[in-house]
Amino acid sequence: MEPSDADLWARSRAGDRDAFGVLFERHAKLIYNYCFRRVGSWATAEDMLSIVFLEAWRRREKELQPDKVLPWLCGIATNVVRNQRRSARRFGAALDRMPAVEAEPDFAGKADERLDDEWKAQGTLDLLRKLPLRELDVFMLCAVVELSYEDAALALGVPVGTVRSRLSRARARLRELDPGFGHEQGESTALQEARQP
Amino acid sequence: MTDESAFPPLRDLPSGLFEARKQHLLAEIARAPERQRLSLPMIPLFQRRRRWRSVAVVALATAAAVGLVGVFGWGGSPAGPSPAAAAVLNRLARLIAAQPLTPQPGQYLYVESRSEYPAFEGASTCETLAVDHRQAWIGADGAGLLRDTTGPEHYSSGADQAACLQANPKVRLRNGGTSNDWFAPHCLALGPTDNWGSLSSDPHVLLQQMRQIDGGPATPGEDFVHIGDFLRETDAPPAVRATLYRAAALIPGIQLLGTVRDHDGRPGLGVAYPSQGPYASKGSTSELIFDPHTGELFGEQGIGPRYWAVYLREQVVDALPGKPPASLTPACVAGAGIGHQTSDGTVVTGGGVNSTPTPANP
Repeated sequence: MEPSDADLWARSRAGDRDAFGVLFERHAKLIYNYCFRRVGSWATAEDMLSIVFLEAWRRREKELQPDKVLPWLCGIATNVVRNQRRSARRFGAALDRMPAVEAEPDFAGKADERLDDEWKAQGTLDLLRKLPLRELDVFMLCAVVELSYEDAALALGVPVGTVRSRLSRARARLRELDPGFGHEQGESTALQEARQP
Repeated sequence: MTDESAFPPLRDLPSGLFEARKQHLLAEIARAPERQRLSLPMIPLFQRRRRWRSVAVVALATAAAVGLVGVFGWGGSPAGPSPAAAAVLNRLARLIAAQPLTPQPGQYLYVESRSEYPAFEGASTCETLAVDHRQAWIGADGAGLLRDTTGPEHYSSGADQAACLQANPKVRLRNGGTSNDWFAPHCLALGPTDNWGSLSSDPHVLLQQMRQIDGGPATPGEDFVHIGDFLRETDAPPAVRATLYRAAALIPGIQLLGTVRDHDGRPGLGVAYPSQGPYASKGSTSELIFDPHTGELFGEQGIGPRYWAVYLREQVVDALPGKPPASLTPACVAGAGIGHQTSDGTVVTGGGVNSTPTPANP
């Protein structure tokens, strides 16, 4: 039986690096994609992924509610996105030690796909960046990463009611800015799958 | 409402990258609480060279090509990227990404350099040199000015002089002079592309794109040439430059030289590629030298053929140093939109030669 996030976090807090490695395996994809959707750059998202988990380890004294590891990581990621330069400075030396990795043999075939991703994300971000930052944070966590209101509140350290009102304002603003926003093909099952251990 | 569909689908990290990130994370958290910062020498400055010059370099090297030469990264395997060079380049990438080198509408990126690249008179064995002082104003709207002040030409060696005179007894070396090339909006494009927004921020993707845009053989040595072509005297935004550095970090065989001095004696961080492949002569090396404080490219030098360039200044400015001496047709086709002004004041535009010479310097 797979250990729960709560078990893994408890072991991580006790200094078990392997347990922390399992948490990385479990949540890296969602954090990586969340960071990408915030910045529109795969390369930056990769560094941010490392920073989020390094920061999580640095703060491992933190006692979390059961099964709240992911929202807590999303909260760290949100701060990393907001303070990119400060985070990069703090963990610059660690990132310097990241070895260069050669592309997979079949990478050329994926190159176009990843480039298209960046263009699409940048186009969406051009619109979303017109939202106030506090509304953008809530919108990205609830509507794009699909955290529950409670988890988004935990990630951002605000009351649930605040999350609801900010999300409502963000959606209203987006409808004004672009009535067709988000009405393409649904993809939400992908997120659900990414959240599964 | 499916807000998520406004974004591309979720992607996995490429498998090798996922494992590398995980191992890196585990290694980092296993380190002592007080982590040691990578110590780098503290020095200033930066530079670059010109694309058409690099073509001349390539042309010479082609004539002297002797086939493949083995390459060995400093601290890395012959087949893989050098960890030491990659660490430094990735650090430089973070520095350059924060530099204020993006001109806003109405502004220009000003780049000043000196360089000396070999030129050839007739046969490839006849080589001449001249120092070129170059100033470029690259407008946010694609307008701009290139001002070249070239010193007197001289032979590279006595053997070159003899070869030149044998090939053409009446050969005359040029005295040098100043020329100004003015560009109407959208007409000035330095570097292999003027569509920087089309380039990926993923260094693996960028390497592929550079091969498509810049051409040449698909070899690591040519990848290193592409890096220089996209960096030198271009208005590549800082984020693109950062990705170029990260892409350079992926090139197998790239070497970290540590602190090196450019032609003017200024110390910087050097990386090199011992050239290989059909365009390189045996023992040839190309070096890029970076400012360890800002991450900017501030020098280049190489042997086989021997050349150097120092980049003296790069900054955003609010205006050109004068007005074009003739009206430029605002259409960048068939030479229109460009005005060339020689030392004697003659002005040539896309529409032909102006009859009235104007002062050489605006």
